[in-house]
Amino acid sequence: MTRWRVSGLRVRLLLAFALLGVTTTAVVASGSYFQARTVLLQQAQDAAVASLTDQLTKVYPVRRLPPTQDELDSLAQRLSDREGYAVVLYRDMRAQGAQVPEPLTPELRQAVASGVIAWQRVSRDGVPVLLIGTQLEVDRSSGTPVPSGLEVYSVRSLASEQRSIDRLATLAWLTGGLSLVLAVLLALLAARGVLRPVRELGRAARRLGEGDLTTRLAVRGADELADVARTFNDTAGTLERQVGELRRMEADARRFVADVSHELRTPLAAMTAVTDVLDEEADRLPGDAGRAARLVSQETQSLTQLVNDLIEVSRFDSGTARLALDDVDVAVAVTATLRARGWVERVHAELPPGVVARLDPRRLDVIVANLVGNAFRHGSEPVSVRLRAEPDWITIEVRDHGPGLDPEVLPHVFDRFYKADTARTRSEGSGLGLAIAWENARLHRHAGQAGSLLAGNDPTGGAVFTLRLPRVATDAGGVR
Amino acid sequence: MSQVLLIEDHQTVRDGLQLALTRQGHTVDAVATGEQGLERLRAASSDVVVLDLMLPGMDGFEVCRRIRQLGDLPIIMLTARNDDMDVVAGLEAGADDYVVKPVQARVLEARIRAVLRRTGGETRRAGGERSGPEQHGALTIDRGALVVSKGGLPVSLAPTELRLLLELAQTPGQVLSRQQLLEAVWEHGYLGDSRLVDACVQRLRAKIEDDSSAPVFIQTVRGFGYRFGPL
Amino acid sequence: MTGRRVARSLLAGGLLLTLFSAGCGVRPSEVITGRPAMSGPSVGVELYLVSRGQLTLVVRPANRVPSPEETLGMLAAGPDEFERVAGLTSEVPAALAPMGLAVRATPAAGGSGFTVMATPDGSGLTVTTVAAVRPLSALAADQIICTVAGAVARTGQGDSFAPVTIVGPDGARPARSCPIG
Repeated sequence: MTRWRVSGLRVRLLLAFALLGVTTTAVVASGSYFQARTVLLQQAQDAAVASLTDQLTKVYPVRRLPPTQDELDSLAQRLSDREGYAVVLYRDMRAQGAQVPEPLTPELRQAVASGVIAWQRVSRDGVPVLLIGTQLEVDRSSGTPVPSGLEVYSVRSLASEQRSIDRLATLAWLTGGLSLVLAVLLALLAARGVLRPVRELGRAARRLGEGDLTTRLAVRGADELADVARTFNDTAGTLERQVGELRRMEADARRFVADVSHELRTPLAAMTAVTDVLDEEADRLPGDAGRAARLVSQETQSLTQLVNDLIEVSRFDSGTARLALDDVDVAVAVTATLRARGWVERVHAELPPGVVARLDPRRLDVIVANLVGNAFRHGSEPVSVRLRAEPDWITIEVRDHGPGLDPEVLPHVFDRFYKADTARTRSEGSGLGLAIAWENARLHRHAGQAGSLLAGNDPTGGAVFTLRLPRVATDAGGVR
Repeated sequence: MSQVLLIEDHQTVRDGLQLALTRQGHTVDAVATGEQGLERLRAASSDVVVLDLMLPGMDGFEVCRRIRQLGDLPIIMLTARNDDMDVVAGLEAGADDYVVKPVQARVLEARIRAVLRRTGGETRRAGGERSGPEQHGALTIDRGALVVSKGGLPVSLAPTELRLLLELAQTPGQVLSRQQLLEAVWEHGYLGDSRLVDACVQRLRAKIEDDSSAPVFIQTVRGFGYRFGPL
Repeated sequence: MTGRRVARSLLAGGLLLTLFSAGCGVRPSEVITGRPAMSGPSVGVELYLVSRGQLTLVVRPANRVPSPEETLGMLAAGPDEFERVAGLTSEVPAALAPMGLAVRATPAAGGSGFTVMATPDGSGLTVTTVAAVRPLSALAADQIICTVAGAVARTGQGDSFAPVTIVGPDGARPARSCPIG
């Protein structure tokens, strides 16, 4: 569901948490580990020293110096136990509690010779060993003690301490690992907590971008993300209000146009009814009166056409336009359109017979008449109409041999009242013809696909309008 | 020429149409409301009614139905809005044809003539050389007398309905497209409204079929048109 | 941004590296020194003999605490058999006996030939011998000084660090304290 983008917020959060967790744990765990190790060793050492000195008090009082070898041996024997053994030296004499190579270090012997108890940890065959050494001195009733020449060393294995410390280390590693896992889990949790609102924000923004202006976010908590959500909601609200206002104004404007058109119809109906009378009488009227009568008649018809077109357009806008579907031989229908307007001789038609389609023949007539009329007006002859049939679609191509459409005009040819040539006289059409043709094409739908009307230029010159309608159209049902 | 009853509430439109139709040689009786129109029909005979659908008081559809009840007088609707629902409702109410306002006088005049032709001799001529009643199952069609009876009982058909039946029955078993029928019966040229045919077929079926949802005489051939029989 | 991240990683890595380099387990250590060496009392006669040119304490078992003069007599007699085997020698000639030890004005009881007397100012000891003291080696003198000082301290007649003057018929050696301890 979620992409794990490297350098994404989630990964960054995860890394930050893991780093924090690991660092903290490393510091704490290693700190306590070292502390514990020091304490452990110190305790072991202190205990060993104390034990040795305790045992050595039993050596006193000294009865004989120099000692015999037997005495040395028995002393070494007494000082050796399970945990270690003793080495007793007297000048060249030596007694050792275990048969091992020289365990003592020169620096330790030097320290002991200076008259202090000294100890040192060394490694013997990989095993940590504690060496403790002291001279045995003889008290004098006054003044400092005198060295007796006896040196006693205790050699103790630190294996058990080593084990304890190893356990501590294992524990530290385990703690570190666990805290890493915990950090990752927490990071995931935190990332989810942070990312969910972010994702919601993204989704909402996308929906808003797609036009759903009612999109709002649930504002949770009082953090920065909640602020963002609130700001988003405010923005969306403002946008919705403004777009709603604009739409309302647009709808008002359209309704106004529709209302005006309807209101114009009644007077136009009266005027249209008598244009024939005017036409007939114009010839008999003298001079200016006749011209005026013809002008009124002619402009009444233009005005009627304009109002009809406006009403047609407002019907498209309000979604009330419906198809009156019939099974039509397209070639016959197109021919009829051309014949009805007296264009059969002027148009080169390639209309394969027998192409039957289910469509609204009146709307097809409107489209074809508009396209061909447009070609005559703006292009130059010969104008050709070509019908092509596909399994599910039919294509009608209307082509002229004029200069073609200006690239700047091309995106606007289907705009309402768009006039490529501003100097053109209005009498050449209402300015809605191509817009209505385009809407009529789109009204024919099949399997969710709308019919289309495209404008373009032929490489060899001349404008090409391509109408594409489904073989079996269904009414769009006012869906826009 | 012919007696035209014009029912139109807008005075200027009424005057304009009356003026134009009168110049074409018709005798035009112009009234402002449906009630007046029905009254006038009872008082004097007319050949055709031109009826505005948007009327104050009794609306055009109701007037249309009342006229149908009175007889087989041809009715041409004037619809201000080229509203599909209006057109369909008007055709179902029994109108024979319709024109959309604003309409030029010569267009309306042409429709009037076409409708009138269906009632008179044209229809009789469309019966062809064959004379005498022809039998199609329970249906008896007398082209000479322009009488249709079913099971011995006469069936009252409006002129357009009769004309459509004659057109279809002329070639039993042969499919006629809506456009063909529009041209032949309504004389609409090619781009007529096929709903005229559909509405008329519905009315015709209601009168001659036993069960109009399972028609025997006038059958729909989907994707092509209509066919008379085969029985 | 990238630079900061790199710096952060380096910091963390360095920290971890430092921690790991401190190591695990028990590490060998330097020599650690503690209290002064063990000491305790002795029972018997303490003499200072020479081993490898150095004064060395020797304890001989004894049933009673001998007088300083007797102790000096034992020193003059030299190491016994066991001590000789152990490599101990003495530079005090046997001819030196009898020596007198003066701890105080009155001569001590017993007649070992040594007279041990306290010096007139009361701060030291004087050992009087019958043989010449000048030819004595410094080591021999120290043997005498340390032995007599220890013996005097043991009998409670003086301090073990009191300066000792050895006097013979040929005169006196300068007063000196036991160099040990």
